[in-house]
Amino acid sequence: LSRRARGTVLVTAWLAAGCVNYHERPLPAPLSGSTGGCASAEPPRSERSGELLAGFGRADITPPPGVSLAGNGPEGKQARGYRMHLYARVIFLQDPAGERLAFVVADLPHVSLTLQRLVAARILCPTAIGADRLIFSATHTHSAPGNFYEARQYNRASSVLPGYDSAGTEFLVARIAGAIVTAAGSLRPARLAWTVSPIWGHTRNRSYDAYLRNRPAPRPRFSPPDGLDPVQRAVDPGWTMIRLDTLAKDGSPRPAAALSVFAIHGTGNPSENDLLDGDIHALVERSLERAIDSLSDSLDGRPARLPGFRNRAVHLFANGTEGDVSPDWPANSRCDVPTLRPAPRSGGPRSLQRWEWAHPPAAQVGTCMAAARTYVNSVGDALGDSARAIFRRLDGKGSGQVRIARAFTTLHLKRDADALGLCSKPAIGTSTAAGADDGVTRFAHWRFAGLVDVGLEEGGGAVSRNPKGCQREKNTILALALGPHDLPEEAQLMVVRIGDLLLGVLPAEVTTEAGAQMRRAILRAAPRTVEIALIGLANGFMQYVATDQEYSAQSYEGGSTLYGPHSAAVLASALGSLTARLDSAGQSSPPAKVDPVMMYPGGGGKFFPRPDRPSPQVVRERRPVASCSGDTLVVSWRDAVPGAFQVADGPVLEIQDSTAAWGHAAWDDDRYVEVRALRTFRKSALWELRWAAPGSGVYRLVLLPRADGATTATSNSRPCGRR
Amino acid sequence: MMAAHGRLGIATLVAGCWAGGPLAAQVGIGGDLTVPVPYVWRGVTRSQAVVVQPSAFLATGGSRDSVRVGVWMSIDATKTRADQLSDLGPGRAGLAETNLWLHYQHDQGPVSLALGIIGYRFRDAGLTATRSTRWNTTELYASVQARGARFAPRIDAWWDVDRVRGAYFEASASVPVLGNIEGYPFWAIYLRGLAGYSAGQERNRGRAGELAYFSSPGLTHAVLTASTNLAVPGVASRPLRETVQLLLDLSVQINRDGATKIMDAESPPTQKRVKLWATFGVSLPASRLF
Repeated sequence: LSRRARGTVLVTAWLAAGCVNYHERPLPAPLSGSTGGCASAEPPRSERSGELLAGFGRADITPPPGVSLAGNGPEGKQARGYRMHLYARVIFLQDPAGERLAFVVADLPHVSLTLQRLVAARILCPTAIGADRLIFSATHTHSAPGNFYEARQYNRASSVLPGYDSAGTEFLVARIAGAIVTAAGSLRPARLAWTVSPIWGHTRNRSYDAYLRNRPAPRPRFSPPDGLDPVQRAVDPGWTMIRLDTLAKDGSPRPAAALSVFAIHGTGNPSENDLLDGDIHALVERSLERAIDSLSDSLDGRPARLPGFRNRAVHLFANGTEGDVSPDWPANSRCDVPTLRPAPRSGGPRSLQRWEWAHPPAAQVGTCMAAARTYVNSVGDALGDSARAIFRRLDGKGSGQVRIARAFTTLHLKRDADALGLCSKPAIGTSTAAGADDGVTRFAHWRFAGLVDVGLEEGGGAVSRNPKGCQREKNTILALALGPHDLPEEAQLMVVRIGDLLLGVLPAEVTTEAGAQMRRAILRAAPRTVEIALIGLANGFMQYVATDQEYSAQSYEGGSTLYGPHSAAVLASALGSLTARLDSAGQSSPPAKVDPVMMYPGGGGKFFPRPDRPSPQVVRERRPVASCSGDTLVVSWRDAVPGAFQVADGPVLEIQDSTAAWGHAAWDDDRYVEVRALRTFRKSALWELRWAAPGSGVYRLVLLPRADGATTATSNSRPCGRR
Repeated sequence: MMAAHGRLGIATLVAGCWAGGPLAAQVGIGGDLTVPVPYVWRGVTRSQAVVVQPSAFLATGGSRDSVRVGVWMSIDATKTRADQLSDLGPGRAGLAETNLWLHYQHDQGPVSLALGIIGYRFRDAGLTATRSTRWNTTELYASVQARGARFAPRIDAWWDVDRVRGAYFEASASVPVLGNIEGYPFWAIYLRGLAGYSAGQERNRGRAGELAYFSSPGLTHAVLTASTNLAVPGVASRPLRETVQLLLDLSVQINRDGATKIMDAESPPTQKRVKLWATFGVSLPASRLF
């Protein structure tokens, strides 16, 4: 070859390598009870205790500001700070026969196969639980980090900063695994009860036209109350709650924890939100936790006390068949998306005109954010009240002889597509890029060269005019830009039995009617089952699953059903088969294997702030200065740069009230507290707290001492609040 | 010339501050630096040297009314040969042209209206230069643009009130062609079609001393330009903290007027119907200054 030809080949190979660089690597395949990699040849064996044991754990997983908020794609923001801390909560169960299961619900947008497998590998030796007994799901808040996926497309497109962040992933894995180990180490005799109640009026079906296509016509799972809007009826209102009480020294039960499953998108916050936040779920979690703590204190004869920074009880609030179910937010809680417009000529009339994204004006963002916060607080309180009512309904109904079991499998969606009846090439529809109605992107209704409709919308041009091939109605033009390993290729499914309750666990956002189809399949396989609930967004993430008829409408959910129109039926069938296996194994769990899988995360990104030296500089003089703006206490101070200390290590600050001799008013985990790192310098950052004071008073901020050496710093006091 | 520069500069600044005051208290700053290859203006090839064109502006105003005042310069960074075009003439390099401009813009829904004044100032570069102080002139201009999110037609009108006299019009339309549907880093290719029309800025047979940019009235040229601007992730200008943009324009131009057809300084000059040109640049979007 000539030099020029060699050069051309080299450059082409280099470019091609860049395009197909998936960074392929294997994920661990930890099977419960196996000893591979453990220091001891024998993993801890679960003993037959003769009664149900339960342990609980909690990990603060609030990352430092700087990470991107995932779930809203290009409209998501880079986190400038935080509001409600993010947690992963754990319930660890061991039944009288020694069967073990761990439930984790994390305030995250999704759980990737990567996260689930890495956490399972980390806890295998200390807990004897592997991927086949770990039910790890996400609340689906869109105000939490991503960049932890095994599929390159999600690292690239689910948030505004593209890339797989190994440090952020390790942060989550280490903390969540630690909480599970803590829970396993604190097993105590427990009583378990469960129930299902319909909760109407706070959710609605956001793809109602697609829902109406289902045949036979969907029948509501519960009778809706009169006067309910049709879109509010077209949801699964079932709230499944498992209540756990532990036994006091005298053998009497003490309320300790709950696991809820309810279908609602974690999108109370609009995409303009720039704070890490647990969204609606965070309020519901805390509401029941405080009630449980209070109830427990009262049973123990302890006086009522102010809530601590963290509640002792844990309430895991998992998501159900929320694929097409949005919170019923008011329209004014959504902000306009940016629009691309010609910009003023920077070089004056001589220069060529550029285009720029015109963001909604700050005043408009302020208005819609305020409306969203009000709505989130209101629906969070209402659902919290519902949770407390359901919990109380289970008073005295717990049993210590509940048996648990699971059946587990890994579907190789791509490798076994033909055998399963799926499309062998997963594809994203154009409606996905346009966004759902509560997550419209800037690309909605975009036309190629301003003229040609390419289907960037729900329905309309997103529906292929000439349905053909496996993906049928899906406009797959965007698939042209995808590589062979860009989308998820495995789905881990589980069916869990807890007494006479069955839980289907799957790694998808399942629509209401697709969920109904799956519940029917489970019921066919185990007709004696009393109740079935589905936990979505668990143990991986394969986007949405809509029914065949919904798929034909190519709404957002249909466009995001990657493996074609038969996906719901295939998953329903697989859950039915798992149920049959579980049923035929009697009281115990059937054997399972955890298949080796690969991750293809693509290129790395460093978004999780890393200290730039082993011992980052501590800002000794933090000097908080307080002022009052309207009814908002505003305090700014100098502190270490984001990442130099972990927000997740404990309370960072406390607001104190003069009326109670500088007593506690709020922590930095409060719906009315917003903490931001406004500007970052080389060795320090300018931080700001904004707290909408609930009543008038004189307040001050105390920056709490930290493990990194930062000492207590107190601001001046300021009168502030509503008068 | 410096005195003229100074007067125009002070006048534009005073006018800008006067006009900007009532509009809003916020002032922004921005600018860009471009390298056209070759330097083409209104379809006319002006310089085949390596030309560097920095600009800077101050902006003030709200979401509907804004005022900008700025300076734009053209610097021949290399010397040209005798058979090449340049503003300074062969064998010379340095500052060739300075423009000061004042621009008022009113956005009403999807329509944007603009009025402005621009002063063109050249060096006293000697006999061999194609531009010198005698070309110093001033134009008033106006434009109307539909600022649609996906299609933006525009009409610009310039009226020379000094040395050239007469009007020049441009009709253009641009559309973004989406490059990255995932949004970040967002990029698009912007296609722009433009046609120039001279209504008085051509040679005036009745006034022999009057300067002219074109040979004859009517359609001067048509251009199709493909542009892109890429945000440079992680590169933000401090303390302004705006993302720096890389600019690239590629243009293909169909020449109609005789002046636009001239491609070099040979005698007789070579004339071509089509020419290609490109612009590379770096841009800093308007950032809040105070």
